[in-house]
Amino acid sequence: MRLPGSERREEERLAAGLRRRDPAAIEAVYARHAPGVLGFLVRALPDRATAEDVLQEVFLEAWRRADGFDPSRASLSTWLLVIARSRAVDQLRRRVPEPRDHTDPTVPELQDPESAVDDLLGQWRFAELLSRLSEEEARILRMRFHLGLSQSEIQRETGLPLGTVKTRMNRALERLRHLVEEGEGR
Amino acid sequence: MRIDPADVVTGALDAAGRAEAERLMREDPAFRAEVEGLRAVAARLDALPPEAWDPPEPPPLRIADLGTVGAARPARRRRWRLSVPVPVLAVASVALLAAGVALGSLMGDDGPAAPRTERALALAALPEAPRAHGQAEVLTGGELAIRMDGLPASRDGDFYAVWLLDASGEMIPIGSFRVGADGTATVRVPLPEDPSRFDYVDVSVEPGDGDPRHSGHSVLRGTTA
Repeated sequence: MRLPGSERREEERLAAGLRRRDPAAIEAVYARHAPGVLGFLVRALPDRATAEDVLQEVFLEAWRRADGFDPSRASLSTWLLVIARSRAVDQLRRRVPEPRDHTDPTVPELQDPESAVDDLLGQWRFAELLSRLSEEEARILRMRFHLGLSQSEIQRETGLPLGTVKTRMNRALERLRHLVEEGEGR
Repeated sequence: MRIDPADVVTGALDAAGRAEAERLMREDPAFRAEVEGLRAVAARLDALPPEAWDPPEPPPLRIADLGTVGAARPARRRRWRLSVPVPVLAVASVALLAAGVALGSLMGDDGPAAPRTERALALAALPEAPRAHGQAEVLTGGELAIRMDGLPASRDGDFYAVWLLDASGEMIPIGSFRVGADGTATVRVPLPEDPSRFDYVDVSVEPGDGDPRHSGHSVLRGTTA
């Protein structure tokens, strides 16, 4: 997925800082990406404390493996999420599963932890695309799909004319679809 | 009447618009493909977990110091004097379990060559956490892996820190982690260039007060020999 030019230059600058082992670079990367990575880990792992521990592992590994990050192949966010995915799977594999009665038909088959984490990874990579939209487009989508507001409610909330709400929402959906297709086409 | 495919997805059509959209869906493959593509995007937006919209606030980056330790720039390493008296360390070290127990690898790795255990050591409980115990491995590639249990769950803001220290009381932090209700933790952290210079591995409880010095509240300790 191609980043906008300014974003790509910033990522290249941060990647160069990581390779130089500049502590300011890892701190900047953490400030930008730790919330998103932690959100992923909180969903993937059983509790917040574990997610925070794994978050530290992820950024430590990013620091150690900075030489392996190529900004022309993936965004920092994608790279960090892939590391987080591996560390989350490691963590889940270390956990002792709860005993289950396999003869009880009411007990659903649990999803393989790895596949559940992969599903989540797909969701987070999709969510990443929202940051490629303009602020107003992302806000409209958030109000509609996260907060569940109707277009009329968004109109009241934002004070925008209904036609503008519709136009922005339609444009945001179309831009997002384009970004999805662009990402899948790579 | 011109129908925007996105209006079909967002439900922004009146009765006449819906009728026209239904006709286009039947008769216009390009329109139908457009609507289906947008519907897929809308479905993915609907399915996003709340944390993807509102990411949680992460804890402070405790690994900034570790990264400096792990990098090939020892001059930048920060050191603190241990606030625990050296004689206490000496007494504690006598109580350590015998080192050198062969352990299996604690963790997998994505890399082409999984790290091997160079040395194993046991960590003994100290009075602040009498039910704690831990096992550590020095791994090829310059890492230390530690598996611990019986630790008190981390309280809000608190965390555990892993330290290397020598008999003179000089110490450096090499990792931090939190512990959940199950009292277990498994961590893997990079070691300084020459870990053999240090005598002990120490695990302490640290308050989240921003003070980078050792709190003096150690819970586990073992020799690196």
